[in-house]
Amino acid sequence: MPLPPTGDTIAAVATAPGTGAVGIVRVSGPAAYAVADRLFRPHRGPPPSRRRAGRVVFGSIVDARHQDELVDEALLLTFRAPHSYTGQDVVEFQTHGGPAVLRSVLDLCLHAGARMAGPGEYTLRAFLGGRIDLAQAESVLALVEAQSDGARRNAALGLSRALGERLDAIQSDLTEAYAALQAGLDYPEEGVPEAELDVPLARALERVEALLATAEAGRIGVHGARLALLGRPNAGKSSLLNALLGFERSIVSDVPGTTRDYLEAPLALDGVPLTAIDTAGIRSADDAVEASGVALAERIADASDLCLLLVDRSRPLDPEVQGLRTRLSAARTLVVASKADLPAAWDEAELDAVAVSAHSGEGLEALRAAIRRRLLGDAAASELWISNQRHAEALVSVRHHLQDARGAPPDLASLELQDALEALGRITGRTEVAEETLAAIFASFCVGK
Amino acid sequence: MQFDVIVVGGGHAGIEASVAAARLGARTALVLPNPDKIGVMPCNPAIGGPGKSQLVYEIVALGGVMGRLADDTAIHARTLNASKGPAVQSLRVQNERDGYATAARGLIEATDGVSIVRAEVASLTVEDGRVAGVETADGRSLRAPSVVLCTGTFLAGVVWYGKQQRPAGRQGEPPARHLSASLRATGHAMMRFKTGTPPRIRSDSVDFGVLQEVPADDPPRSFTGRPGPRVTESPTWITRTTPETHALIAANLEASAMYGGDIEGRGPRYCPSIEDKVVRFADRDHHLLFVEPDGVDTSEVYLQGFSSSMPPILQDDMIRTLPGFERAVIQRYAYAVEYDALDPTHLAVTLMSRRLPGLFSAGQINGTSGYEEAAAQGLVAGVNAARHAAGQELVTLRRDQGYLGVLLDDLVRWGIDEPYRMLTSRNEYRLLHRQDNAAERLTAVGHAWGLVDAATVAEVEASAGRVGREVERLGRVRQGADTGAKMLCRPGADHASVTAVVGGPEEALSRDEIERVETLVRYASYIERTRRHLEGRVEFEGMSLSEVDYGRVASLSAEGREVLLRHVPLTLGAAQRLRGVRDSDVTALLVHLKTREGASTRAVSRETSAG
Repeated sequence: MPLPPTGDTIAAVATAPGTGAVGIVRVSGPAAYAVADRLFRPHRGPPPSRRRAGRVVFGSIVDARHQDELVDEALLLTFRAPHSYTGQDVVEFQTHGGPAVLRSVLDLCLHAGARMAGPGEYTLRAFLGGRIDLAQAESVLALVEAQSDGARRNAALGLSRALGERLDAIQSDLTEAYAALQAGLDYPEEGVPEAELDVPLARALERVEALLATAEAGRIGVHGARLALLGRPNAGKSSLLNALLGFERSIVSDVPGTTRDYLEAPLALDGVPLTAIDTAGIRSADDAVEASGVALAERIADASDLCLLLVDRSRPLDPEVQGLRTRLSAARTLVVASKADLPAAWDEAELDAVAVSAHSGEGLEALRAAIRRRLLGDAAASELWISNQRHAEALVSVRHHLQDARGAPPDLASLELQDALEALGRITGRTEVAEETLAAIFASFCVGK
Repeated sequence: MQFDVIVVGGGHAGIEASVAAARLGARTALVLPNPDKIGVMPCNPAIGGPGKSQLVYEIVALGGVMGRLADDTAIHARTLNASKGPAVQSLRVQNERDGYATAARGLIEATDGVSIVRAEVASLTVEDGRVAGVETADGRSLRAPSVVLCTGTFLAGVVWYGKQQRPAGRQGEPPARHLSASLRATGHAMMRFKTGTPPRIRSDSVDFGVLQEVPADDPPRSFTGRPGPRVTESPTWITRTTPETHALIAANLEASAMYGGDIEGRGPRYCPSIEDKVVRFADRDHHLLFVEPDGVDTSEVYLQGFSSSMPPILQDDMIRTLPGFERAVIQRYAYAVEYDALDPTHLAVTLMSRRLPGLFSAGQINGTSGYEEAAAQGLVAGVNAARHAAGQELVTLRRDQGYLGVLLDDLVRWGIDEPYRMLTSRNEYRLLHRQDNAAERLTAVGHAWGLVDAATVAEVEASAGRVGREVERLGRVRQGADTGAKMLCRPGADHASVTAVVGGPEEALSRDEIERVETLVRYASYIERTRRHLEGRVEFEGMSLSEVDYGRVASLSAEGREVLLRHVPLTLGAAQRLRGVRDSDVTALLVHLKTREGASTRAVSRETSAG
């Protein structure tokens, strides 16, 4: 298997999955600054490439393809060759968004010209760039060895049969499309029918999307999810948390320290590991709904996979609570109408809320089911979990090449398909694209003199 | 008789090898039984096509002769894939079959330093583990430090018509009976391959009126920039098989040498016989066939797509089921040929044998198929044979430099199990390795090899300069918010329509140059992406493994070490492409190289400070 090139620009998520509230996407290579210019808009001052290196810049990550639509607020760290970890130009986007946001940022980097980094590529570059000394070389070796062994094991054992079948289906769609395209290009006169790409590409894209949709569930299934409880101090957050914890009440603990002014409690919901974050202990802003507390609430929400916004159903609806609700991501927020055992002051259907009483236990099961559905989606029922972050990233790369292949002229479409197959090969371990294509050409088309 | 280089065989590989060696100053013998057979085209009378035309353009750039011969004798030229993007556009010319051979022989005879020796070579002369010359079947000794084998399909060749077989290297010509033994005795493994040809039909028995005509391009393109005098004079034609053809073949399959199980050799997937096509694609009600003339006023046409190993009597009936061929008379029957080929993994990427220094081989003997693939190898083998004789370091082309590099790398790295034909899909850098920029890519290499003069290099550089300046200008000039480059990228725009708005360049550009400008502007982002991808790889291509003792490299896997010892790759780039070499092996080699580099630097600096 060839080593990856080291002269181009690569990008990858640099934080481990399921940990920490800050996510990093790192880009290394000659086009790092071009990538940064394309997707990062500093709040003040010139674009990244015209700034001095080694500074932290605050700004927005935007999607330039869609009128600079906001993706996330982020910090940008810049390094110039050779003063970086890899010895190349490096930029780092630090966001507090969850994994879905990180993948969008990564996707934007790929659209801006970077290539998805493979296992150990940053370390390899660091080594070749002379940023790691000879004493460290041995450990680099061990690392790469371990990774490639891991990759082999993965290819042999790591993929469940069901996932393997899905990937094979994508691979054969792409190989077939690529072979059809290539047969037409290599045998232009022999009546090879015009390669019909729209259907196989659309089907492959659909399959890739479906697998990626399970990536979130897969990650949560393996690494757990963060569940935030927001609401006014008297909305019943602590009671709800205790009700959800049930017998596990004893493991509630106060997380001490100055940086985490809230309660974290591990919680298992039908086998899905969760970390519940109760903002009850926020000292700087007792009331998350007050203006001063809104920013903090939003930050906590952003760093969580799901927010429970608790609203007391026994009291009239509060316009400020409504305001907070509109500012939170609808997809990641579940409104809970609390104190359902008391007479209702409003109808929970108004807010599309789940009515729950921590006191009587009414609605708790419905809430558990709703949380599970929100976190795991349809994947809850299946085992098609892309739990491996690298697999998810490779699929993002495949999707990116397939999107670019649609409507491209034949020679360019074939380049994109070649890259898509290569990216897929990183999951399946099938990397001999050329030979498989030739086999497909000669099996499917009657060409040759 | 003493020579510097002996070339065995006068086909397309042998022509390039002997001319290149002689032009580099080597006293060269071209040995073959019949000089009238120099440059014959035993398959179809055409040069070029996808993957192959790129090779011919590269041969021209490097100082080879195939492009010149093909252009001078062309009677039809067409650009294939014209609308499918520059990476795959390919020129294909039809040639006057006899004219090509005459021109080739004329060229050999006019080349100073080539002596034609009429003989069959019987064995290699080996002294001190090196090649020292050849013995001919009639007992003569020819001596030279370099021998280039370009024997095509002649090594132990057997020709089949139906179930009848006879030893022959080609229709009506005796095979090379003895040389295979000599190669085996010097440690070379041989493979048994097969290929086939279609029948030749008398022109006056074909009803051309009912055939679909394919006209030549006008104005024509050419490999050398100077199209030959008759290049637009002939069309080609298309006919097709019919259900009657298929029924006839299906009913008589057991009469076929290939289906009857008589032929053992492996045939190429891309060159199926008509029997293969009918069996494997039973749902098709027709297959296209190409009717190619042997010349402008030819008495014979070639029926491309109709290779067969059926007995002659059946071929007559089969032909007459084709539209336009109802009364056709076969002049020469289709036949299959089986032959010995060397396992190319015995070769270094210079085409010199790793088993026997001084022995080179090129063309079908190395398991390839096609005139262009043969000529490309012949050129490299000829250059290196001359250099070896002169005690100079051997040269090669890397994979990232073009199709020729891909061909060499594929052959010696992977080995092959069927005849190897070049296809654009074999080249991962095809967007960079276009026929339009072959001169720009490789003329300087041809100059360094000694086959291209300084004036040509200057011409190519001047042209590249004009193209570069125009691309740069288009990126600069504006109409409103848009640059000329941006306008050129719009659908339907071309250089003329853009310059009509933003003004033309100061210097005049040729038609080819304008097309190169359009390609470079339209495909800029893709070209850039491929180029960066390639540059990353080139780094490894430059890391020499020549002094590495694999036994002393820590952490190599057992399989990796074995593969490396067997193949002896020259560079880390070549090593990483070997099957069985893992990522971790490449990293181990890298660490080894860097460590050694570090150690020697430290040693030098210690000496300096001590002094």
